[in-house]
Amino acid sequence: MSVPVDQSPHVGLPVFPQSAGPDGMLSNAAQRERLALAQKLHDTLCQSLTGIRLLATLAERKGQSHPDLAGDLSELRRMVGTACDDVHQLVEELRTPTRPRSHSI
Amino acid sequence: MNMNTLTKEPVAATVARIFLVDDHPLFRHGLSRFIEAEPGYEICGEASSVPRALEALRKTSADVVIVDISLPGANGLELIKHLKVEHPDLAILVVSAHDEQLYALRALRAGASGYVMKKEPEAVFLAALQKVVSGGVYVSATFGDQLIYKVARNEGGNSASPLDVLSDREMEVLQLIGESKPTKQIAAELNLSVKTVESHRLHIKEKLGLSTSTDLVRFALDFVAQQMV
Repeated sequence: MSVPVDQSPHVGLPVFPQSAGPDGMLSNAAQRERLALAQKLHDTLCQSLTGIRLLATLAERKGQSHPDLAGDLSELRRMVGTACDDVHQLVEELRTPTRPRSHSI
Repeated sequence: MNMNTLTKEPVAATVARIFLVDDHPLFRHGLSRFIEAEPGYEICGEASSVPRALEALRKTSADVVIVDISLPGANGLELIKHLKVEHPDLAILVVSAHDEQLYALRALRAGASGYVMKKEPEAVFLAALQKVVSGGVYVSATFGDQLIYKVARNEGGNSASPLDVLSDREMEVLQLIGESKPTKQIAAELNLSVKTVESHRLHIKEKLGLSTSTDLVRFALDFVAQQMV
C-alpha cells in the first residue's frame, strides 16, 4: 500500500508530512535531517568531485601521448566519474521523501 | 546541444581572459586547470566570494567572468548585477549546481550571458564558454526550447514557476529558510535586520499564497530539495 504524498500547489513537489504514523513516512524532523545531509553532500563533496573530474579528464587527455600512463589515467577518470555519479545518486535518494516499504511480497 | 543565440558584440581578444568566482576550492582549481589547457583562454584571476571578486576585478581586466550562484555572503545574482554596473561590457557565464529551471532566467535578467549546470559534460561547458566569449547567449537546449515556446504563446519570458513572483532577495531568504536557519541567522548572513527578514518572510507567504509559517517552511524545504542537480 502506498501512502499518498501531499502535493505543493505551487511547484508540484511532494511536501513533507508534519508527522508520520507507524507505517507512514519519516517524521518531518528526520526528513529535514536527510535534506540537510543531502545539501551538505551536494554543496561540498559533489563540487569537489566535479573539480577532480575536470582535472582527471585533462590528465587523461594529456596522457594519450604517454602510453605507459594512458591506461591508468583513463581508469582514474572513469573512477572519479563513477564516484561523482554515486554521490549524485545518494543526494537524489536523500532529498526524496521516503515512502514506506510495502509489506506485501 | 543548444546555441540559442542573441548575438552581441563579440569579445575581441585572441586569448580570452577568464575570471573564476566559486567558493569551492577543488572545483575552482579543476576548472581553472581545465580552461587553461584549452587554446584561446587564460585564467586572469579567481575569487571565492562576492566582495573579493568585485575588489579583484577592479584591478584586473577580464573578458568573461564565470560565476557560481551560491556564494557566501551575497549570492551570484547580486554579483552579476554589481558587475554589470561596474563593467557593462563584461560577459558573464553562470556555472552552477542549481537547477536551471529555477535560476537561468533570473541570471539572464540580472545580466548574465549564459547558464550551464555543473553536472553537464565538459564538452557542454566548453560550448557554453565559447558561445559567451564570442558574444552569444547560452542556455541548454531544453531550457531554450521552453523559452521559445512560451514566447510563441505570448507568455513572454515568464516561466511556469510561481517562484518568478519572488524577488531575488526573497529567493535568498526562501533558500535559507529551507536550510532550516532561524531568522536571526538569516539576517546575519544577508547583512539585514531581523525586522527586514521578517518582512521578507511575510511577503513570500503572501506572494505564494501560504497561510502559515509552517506552510512556508515546508515550501522552503521543497524548494531546497528541488534545486540540487
